[in-house]
Amino acid sequence: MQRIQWFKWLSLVLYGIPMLFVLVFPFIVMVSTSFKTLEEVSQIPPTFIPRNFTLENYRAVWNIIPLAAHFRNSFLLGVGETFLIMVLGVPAAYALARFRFAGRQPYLIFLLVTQMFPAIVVVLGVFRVVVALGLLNNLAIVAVTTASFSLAFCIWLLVGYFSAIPPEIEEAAMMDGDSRLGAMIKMTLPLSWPGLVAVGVFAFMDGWNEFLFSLTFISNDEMMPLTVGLFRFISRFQIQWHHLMAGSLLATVVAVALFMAVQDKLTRGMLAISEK
Amino acid sequence: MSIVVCRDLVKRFGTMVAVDHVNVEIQDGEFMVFVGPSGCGKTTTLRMIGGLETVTTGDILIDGVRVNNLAPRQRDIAMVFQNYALYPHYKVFDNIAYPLRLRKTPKAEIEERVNAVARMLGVQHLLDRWPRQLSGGERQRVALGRAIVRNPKLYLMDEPLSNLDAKLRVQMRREIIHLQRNLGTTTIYVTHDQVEAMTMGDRIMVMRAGKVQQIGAPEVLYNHPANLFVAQFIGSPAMNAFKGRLETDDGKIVVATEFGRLPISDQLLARLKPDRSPTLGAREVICGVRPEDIALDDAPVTPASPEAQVDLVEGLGADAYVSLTVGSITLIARTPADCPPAENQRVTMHLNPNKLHLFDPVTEETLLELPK
Repeated sequence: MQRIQWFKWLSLVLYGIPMLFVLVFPFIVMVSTSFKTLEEVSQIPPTFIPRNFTLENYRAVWNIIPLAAHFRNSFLLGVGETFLIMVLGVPAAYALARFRFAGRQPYLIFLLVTQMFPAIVVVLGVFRVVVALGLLNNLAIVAVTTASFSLAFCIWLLVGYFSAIPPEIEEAAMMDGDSRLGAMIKMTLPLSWPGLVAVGVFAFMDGWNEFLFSLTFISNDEMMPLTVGLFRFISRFQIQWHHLMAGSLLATVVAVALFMAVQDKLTRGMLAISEK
Repeated sequence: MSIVVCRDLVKRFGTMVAVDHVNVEIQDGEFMVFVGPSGCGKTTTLRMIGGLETVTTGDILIDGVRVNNLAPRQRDIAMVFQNYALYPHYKVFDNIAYPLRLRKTPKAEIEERVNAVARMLGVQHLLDRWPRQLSGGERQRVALGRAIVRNPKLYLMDEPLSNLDAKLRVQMRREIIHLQRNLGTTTIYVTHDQVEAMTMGDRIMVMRAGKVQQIGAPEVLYNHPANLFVAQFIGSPAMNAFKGRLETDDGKIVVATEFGRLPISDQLLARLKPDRSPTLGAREVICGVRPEDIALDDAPVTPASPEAQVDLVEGLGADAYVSLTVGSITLIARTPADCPPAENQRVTMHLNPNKLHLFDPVTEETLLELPK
């Protein structure tokens, strides 16, 4: 008993606290920088607690860039990608999990292969397509492109969740008088709710954090998501750290708040299934 | 209430033939059991009837209507699954009510019928629980309730008792028999357990490797097996089988075996298929005898009543299973438990000459006429 206690403390000190520090450090720097003046940011040695505490950065960020529009665009990207992944990925994953058909295994492997190269490799090609389609400065095309990259991964996740639901439950529903679609909607989907939530959150975060395609396809300030909007504080000669960090903190806080707001609903859905 | 006909039913999975030209007609109100070892195609046949599996070739007719291409919900069949397949996110009431809700039954009627079924099955106190709060037997009852709540044409049951412990299984077995008799609905029941098959079925269809071996009432299968497989599959302990040859002693036909010359009754002889008779002189056979048709005593040894060595005696209360060795052959005899022979004792065996079974050694088909 004593030994276990001792080991617990040791692991906490050796791993837990350093790990926490590594994870939280960037956030501490972000928070601290966002309340500093530009002079203090570049000062050596750096300070942790701002000496001249200022809220000016937040006001400046609001005035310099169309922050509200950026928030809206990021939100739309997140929602758009979640929508696309759910609408396209759920039926695909369901088919892969439930039916045995010729080419199923190669198809699954092919999906995996699409994950093996970085998006940057294709960005130029996609850009030319987007130009040809006349879809520059269009958020929808960013959502579609981003979703197409994470779709394969999401399908893999969902195949796992759907496969874990016994097919007899659907078969029972069909014998009881339901169609296959009805059985899927009333049985398999609610029972894989935790998986759907996980994939949905992943898709939303992926859209919210999207940077590469937005940077490439969007030049209109009003259409930019947060990531690209804030990126403009990084110029060739100077990085406006104080503004960048203030904007980043706002973006983080809003994202976290958003999740706290829906988390209750999501976990309640999960509980309804798992609780007793 | 309906008649089910399977006509030349075949199911292939790739190159594997799971169900091989099954022909069976199930009568209105009948309790039909499909039995066989695992992988024999009995569940696949059931699932084809239910519409959960497509038919490769052949026809399934329910009340004269070909249902091959109908979805399960268009066939009006209820099914009970091996693992119950209750809807884990619905409470017991909603599980039972589900088939009625799909049929847009009025709310008051749903309430009434679910309660009636719950009372019938003794689960009315569980209606407000989640499936995961129920024991195995309770889950099975709820699964049955979901099947019977809507008076379907046909019940399909896929090894519904195999997840229950032995005692509960016997109890549920009786409940299902009662339920089926009261409701009078045609039922097809799949099991690998020959005891379940014998006790429950009006008729039994024995399957092996996708093929039907024999269809008949339990006592017909037990007393007149069509082949060696059925003979040894039905009955516990299994029927003893050993090689022999039909020969004549003073004009009487006997089975010559390595341990003796076993007489055959005239009754049995009369049932020998006519086409076999001309070859009688030196006909090789496999001879089968059920454990209860071997009597043991200490009478003098004769060629007709050979001597055997007792290897093991397993008492079961009422009966005892006695393992015997004669030459290279091991036989099991079933004797009353009050006076079993001692182990390592030598005893005299009397094989009932009226109850021998004779099979072709190559085809393993019976050489006796089956009752019509």
